[in-house]
Amino acid sequence: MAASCTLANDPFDPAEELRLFSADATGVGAIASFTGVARPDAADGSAVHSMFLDHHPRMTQRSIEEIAGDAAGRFDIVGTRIIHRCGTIEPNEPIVFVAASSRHRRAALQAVDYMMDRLKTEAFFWKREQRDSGAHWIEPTDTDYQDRERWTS
Amino acid sequence: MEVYFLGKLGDMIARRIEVERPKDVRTAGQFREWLGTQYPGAAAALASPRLKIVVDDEIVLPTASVSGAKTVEFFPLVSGG
Repeated sequence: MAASCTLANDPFDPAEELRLFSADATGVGAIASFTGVARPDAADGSAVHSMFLDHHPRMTQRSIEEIAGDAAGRFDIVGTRIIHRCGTIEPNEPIVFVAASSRHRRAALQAVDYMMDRLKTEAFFWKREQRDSGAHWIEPTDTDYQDRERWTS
Repeated sequence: MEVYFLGKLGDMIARRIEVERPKDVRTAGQFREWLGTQYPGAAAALASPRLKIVVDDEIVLPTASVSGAKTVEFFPLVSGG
């Protein structure tokens, strides 16, 4: 299986990434993808002016690759692609792009869902929102952990 | 010894500090407790059971030795995606 994981300092174009991934995915029957976007507002409704995604110079990349590798071991997929931003991110910019290809649709759809749930709760990123009231560090919600738990059985 | 703090701990303490580890501080857990005495404002965050301690790029248990470690890093709860 081909897996490609990128830690991106600069904005990326999810449509172009999907086009490239699809072009490489020959002989498959399904391609699924997800794009996460920086919301312009926080959970309390206040405006988010920018977001900073802290990361570790070596272990963050390793954590993304481990998640892609685990998806390959768990689902019958042919290829995966993960791009995750780090650094300063403006509202409405893509934060994360995840794609998977497979012979049949269920594996690709589930692999993307699985990788996102683990990226939210296990990949080595730390998210800080800049609001009018100052900087706020964000931690996973109970829902994020419940989503992650779906894959433990 | 170089010590790095990621995420909110970096804002509370500093991104990187250099410290001389006391001789009686031998494990990762003891080192975390000692840092809490040096930075009382971050002591509660350092004491969190969900904090990950990383020694030379490997996640370790609080019982792991830090003798001979080049870097010790502290990872608070993550939030990617």
